[in-house]
Amino acid sequence: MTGVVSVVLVLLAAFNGLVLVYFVVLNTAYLLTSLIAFRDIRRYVERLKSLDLGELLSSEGIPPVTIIAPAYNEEPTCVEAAHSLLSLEYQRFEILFVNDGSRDNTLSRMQEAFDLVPAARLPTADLATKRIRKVYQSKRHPNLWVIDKENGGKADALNSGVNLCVTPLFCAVDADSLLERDALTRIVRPFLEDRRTIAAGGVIRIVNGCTVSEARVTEVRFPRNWWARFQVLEYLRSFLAGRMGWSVLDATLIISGAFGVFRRETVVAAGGYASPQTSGATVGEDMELVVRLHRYCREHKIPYRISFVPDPVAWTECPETLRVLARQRDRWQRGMAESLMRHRRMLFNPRYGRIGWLAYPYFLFLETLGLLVEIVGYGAFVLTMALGLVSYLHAAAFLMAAFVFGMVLSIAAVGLEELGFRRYPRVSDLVRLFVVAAVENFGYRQLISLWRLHGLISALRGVQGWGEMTRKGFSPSGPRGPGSGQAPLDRSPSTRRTGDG
Amino acid sequence: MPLNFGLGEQLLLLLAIGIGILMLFALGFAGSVVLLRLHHQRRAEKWSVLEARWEDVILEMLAEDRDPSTVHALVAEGEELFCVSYIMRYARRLTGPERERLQDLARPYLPLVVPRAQHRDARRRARAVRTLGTLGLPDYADIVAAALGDDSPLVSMVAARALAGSKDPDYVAPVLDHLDRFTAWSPNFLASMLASIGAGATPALRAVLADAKRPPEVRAVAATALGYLNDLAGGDIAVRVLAQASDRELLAAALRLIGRVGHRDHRSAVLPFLTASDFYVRATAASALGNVGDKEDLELLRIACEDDSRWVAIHAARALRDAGDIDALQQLAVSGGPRATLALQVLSEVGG
Repeated sequence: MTGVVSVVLVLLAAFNGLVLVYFVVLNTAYLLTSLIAFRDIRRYVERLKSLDLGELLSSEGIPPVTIIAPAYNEEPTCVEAAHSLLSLEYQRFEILFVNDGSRDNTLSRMQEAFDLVPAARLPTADLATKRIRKVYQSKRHPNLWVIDKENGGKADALNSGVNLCVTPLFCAVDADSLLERDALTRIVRPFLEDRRTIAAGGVIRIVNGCTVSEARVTEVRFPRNWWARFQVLEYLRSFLAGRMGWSVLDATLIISGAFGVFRRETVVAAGGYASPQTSGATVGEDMELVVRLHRYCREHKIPYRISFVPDPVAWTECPETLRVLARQRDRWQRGMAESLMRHRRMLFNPRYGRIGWLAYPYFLFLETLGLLVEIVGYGAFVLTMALGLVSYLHAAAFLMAAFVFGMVLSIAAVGLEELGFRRYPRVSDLVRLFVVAAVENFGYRQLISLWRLHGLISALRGVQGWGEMTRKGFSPSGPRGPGSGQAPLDRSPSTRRTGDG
Repeated sequence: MPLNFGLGEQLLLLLAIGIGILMLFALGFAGSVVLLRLHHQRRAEKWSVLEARWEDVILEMLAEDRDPSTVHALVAEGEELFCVSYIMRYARRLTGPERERLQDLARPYLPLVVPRAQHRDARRRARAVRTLGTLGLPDYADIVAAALGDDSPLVSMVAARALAGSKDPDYVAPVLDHLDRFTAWSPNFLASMLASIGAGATPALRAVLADAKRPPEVRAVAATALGYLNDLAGGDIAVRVLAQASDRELLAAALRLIGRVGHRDHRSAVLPFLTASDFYVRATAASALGNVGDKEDLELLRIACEDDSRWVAIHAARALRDAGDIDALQQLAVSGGPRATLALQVLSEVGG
């Protein structure tokens, strides 16, 4: 009996050691990407001062872009979103708004608002998709096209758009996102500066709490809802510290599905977005595509670059309820796990260079499997304390160290925002961000880890589906969010299940 | 009495030190962020004051109601570079005599910018070169031209854009001489930059296109720029290029140039490329033939509408449309064949 207890205690001690190593390695990785991002955001801002965006805009040589906006049950926001896209400051672009078999009145709202007429359009690629019912073109805005198709999921809708795209670049956006007017010019810049560029991702910011007027964010405000506040900080950490750092290392593995530009030819050659009709369904079609592009280019020895650009912005609404947030994070984690599992041959494979040796192992071991260590680690920690193997004082000190480390990283992300972009103009917003950086460590982060673990387990079990996302629609004026006193544009919230498939 | 710590106490001490250091980091970061915000606010306030002082006078100066010296009198010591930055905001949007007035205004302050063109930070150098290139030509042309050879590709490109933006044909040669450095850039963007110089750039561009010793990507850029400038003489050179070159980008650029400025005499040079193995070259040849071909070539375009490559078919259908053969497109549209949609699409593009 004593022998068994000894073995358990040794195992417990070893596991606690593993948790400690995981904690140190993960946070060191975060710290390193933050430090790299500090250096590069400063350089980036300086670099922008020597380039003239207006000159780029007026250049005859700027490549034409097709914006592909897949939509499923987007009745409350579709017209506003299309207006937002039409108002982009870019010389040559067209919009393919793909109605993915919506069950609400998305199509009729678009028809009414934009005077759509049936039109012919020849596909330029053969990515397998669900049947396209009809193609429409707006009589008011000839560069706006609406593709009405049978429901096949978000990736299928994007592939339908890629098939009908005739420009060298396409921009994938969420139909419920608001792009800033110069966002397209800014995100296309890497394609001008380096012809090897095959993909570029922009920044996603949270619109909750902001004032939206005529499909444009006119006043940036910090949300009142605490769940949204946590996510504002998370997005700053993820985009300004994480993605910027990985981009500098030339190892970008994620471009958000809400805003990314791709070279059409390469995406078609790589097989398009993963969908039930192509290489199999995944809820992480955005990450899967980027990983596949890396793989395709390296296997075919094609020189390429995948960039992250920190200043083009797409504003999006984030969940404000625990239920919807849980589903979103579950889905994100499933998407990441599925993408990594599909391309597992890249792991430590010299053929894939720094992707195989650096980015892939990081996402697999620290961002995916590490969740198991983290969650089980919480339990092991409690057990260790209950068995009296560590004093409460030691336990409290260790937890404190973990929390303060997390806080340092979050405040560093706020620093990156201040250094480069300063979207939150009030000093009180800064103070609120600091408060959130402290508070999120007590419950929020653990909840997120739990939901992500659920997502990981779901991925291992092969669960599919997107879950529901409640949308409010864009407010025509005044701050949004609970307690703002402003009604959303569309009074009845929509329920979106993006890509039922 | 010496302190005796056990392993537990040592670990605790270590954790306490770690927490202390991390707390210092957190406080330091937070303090830095607040200080940075205050710095930005002070800077914004300073700019507001300066703008309020200068804006009306500069606008009046641009309207020729005031002399630059009245603005100079409003620039205090230490504010000269702020004034240059402020002038640059206008300079980006103005050309012609108004730009010249801004250059007169900036002239006394530009010597302060010159040392920055040698700054060790490439981004600072780039800003200085851009300023001198926008407000200081031709006085500082030597510095800007020298920056074309800068180690930093950013500085080099900023210099090239500044020289091209001046629209002075004298600067074409140095920019073209350094074009090999910019081959990573989008060829269309480079061509557009060169074309912005204007018709004065065409002799140098023709020379580059004709020079078989230059890299094909550079010659392709020159061909595209000549196309943007609608240079008729470029068509004959493009024909010679088609006879000699094998690079797909160069062939396509030459075919596009012929499609833009060519005439019937050039059709025989284009025809062989309608059957090229590379769909990209075939598609460009179909487009070119739409402009330089005659009636007997319409049948070739009709056949190209059925090409295996949809890109070739699209270009051929548009070429038919441009050649005025609407009947052929209408017949294709009602044929029920695989390219009927294409014909409908192309017809709808002209409201047919």
